[in-house]
Amino acid sequence: MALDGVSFLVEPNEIVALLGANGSGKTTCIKSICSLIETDAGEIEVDGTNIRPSPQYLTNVGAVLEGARNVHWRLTTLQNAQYFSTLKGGSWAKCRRVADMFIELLGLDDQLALEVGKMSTGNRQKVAILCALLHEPSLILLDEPTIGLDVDTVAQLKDFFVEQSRSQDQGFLITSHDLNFIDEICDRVVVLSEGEKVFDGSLPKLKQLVHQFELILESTYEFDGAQQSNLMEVIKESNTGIVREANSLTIRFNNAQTGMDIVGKAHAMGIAAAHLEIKRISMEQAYRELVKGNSNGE
Amino acid sequence: MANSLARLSLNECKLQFYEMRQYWFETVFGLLFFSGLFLALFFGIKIFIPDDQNTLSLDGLMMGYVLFAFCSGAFNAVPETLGSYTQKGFLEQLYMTPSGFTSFLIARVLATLFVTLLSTIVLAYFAMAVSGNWIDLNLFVLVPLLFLMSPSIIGIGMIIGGMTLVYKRVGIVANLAMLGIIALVSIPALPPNLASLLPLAPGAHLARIAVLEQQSVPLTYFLIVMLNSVFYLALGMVIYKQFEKMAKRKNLVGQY
Repeated sequence: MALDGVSFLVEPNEIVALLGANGSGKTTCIKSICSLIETDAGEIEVDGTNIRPSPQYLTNVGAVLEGARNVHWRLTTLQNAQYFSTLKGGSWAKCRRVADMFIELLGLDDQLALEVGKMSTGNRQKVAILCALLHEPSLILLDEPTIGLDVDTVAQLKDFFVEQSRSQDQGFLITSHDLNFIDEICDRVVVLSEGEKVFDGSLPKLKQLVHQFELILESTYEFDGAQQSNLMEVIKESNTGIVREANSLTIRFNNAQTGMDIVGKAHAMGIAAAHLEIKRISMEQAYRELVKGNSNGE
Repeated sequence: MANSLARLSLNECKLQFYEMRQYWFETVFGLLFFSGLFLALFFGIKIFIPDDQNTLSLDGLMMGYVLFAFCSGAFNAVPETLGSYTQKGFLEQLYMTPSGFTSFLIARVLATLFVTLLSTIVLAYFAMAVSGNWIDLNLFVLVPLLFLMSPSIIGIGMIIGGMTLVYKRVGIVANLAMLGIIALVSIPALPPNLASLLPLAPGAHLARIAVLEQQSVPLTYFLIVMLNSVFYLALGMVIYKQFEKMAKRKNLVGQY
């Protein structure tokens, strides 16, 4: 739970993912930015203002926390909107316009008469997001915003977040285990492991760090060492990962051509394939390896 | 300040109104329960007291009832807010008010006092009508006195509220405190004696003297009530802040 020396920046217009295993410090990070947890040391700034002296900076922050309902389930969407926007110091006349726009964008039009508690999980989450964004904060913190949501709702939220970030110059910091979701909307990824930052950079860079493709070749008979070395001579790129076993070879690489070359060579050598697989390495695998690598002390 | 206290208080009043409407069952039966409790006490006591003596003690009971109704509401303002919004799952959002959680709590308490005052007055007149035992409830004197004494019991509420923040379930302590309030509104604490040091006690007694007995009151009595209020409110705030600090260190805000 403790964070140590974690430092990163979220720019306006930018959607940053905060990744890490359970207990790596993601939620602690989010809650510290909200002043819900007191930190022993370190500085947090929002719009250039240190958050310690006054809670005033929270005018510029909107948050949807995981494991909490975030809104009043016995009130309707608009009652919630009015209550929370006033709490945040926004003028209701202005926030009402934003609320109407969000209601349309998120497809909540036909839900307005309902108490939030009587809505579906997806719609409840939409109301929580609506209430957090109503006062037009510059920094939006979303802790696991897609938990328990169906594919359509996630797609809708994706579009909504990207559009908000682009058109309103808002910065988003999102934690999620849903890596497809992260993969599609985030500009940058920060990876935490055991309270420390182990990666901060673009998604492609993270993927590169741990290779983009994986080729698995299994032979019907045992490869001997010489044969395997012979096969690998064809690899031109330098940064590859190779795991040799008695009758299989797993090679990770970044250049698609490498895959072609290996298969070509194997064919030319007359290796009889029992199994052949070339796949793109998913975000999930990529960051798992990064985290694993880090805990191995690499 | 991003948000004026008046705006925040109005926001809280509106929320309380919405809640009373949504939880109408609780609202209605809460009022009925309170009324029933009083009437049972009233007629129960009436049976045992000889007719020529009963007016004074029944009036005292009536006054005690009004004081208890208001003060228990004031006491509950903070712990109820913290407890119920932790359960409802948006205490964190309240903690993220740009005006600060203290401003929010003040607004919340003001709104609660307002709503409690209204329901107390309704309860009082209802009880008087049903029992046929009318007392002169001089609201112009009573209401300012209630507001003068309430900070004292709000302070005690803040201590329980702080415990709620850290230990979550403190219902038993809160229930004990409610019993305590019955004692505090009935103990003779004026003229000044040791009991004047107890929270609420001098204020409640002052209300009895000024409203029920309609006697003129020495200025020192007001001063004592005021000091009592200031002291217990300050004490409550200091202790609350300590609990809050503990909760923020241990990541307990909003968890239950």
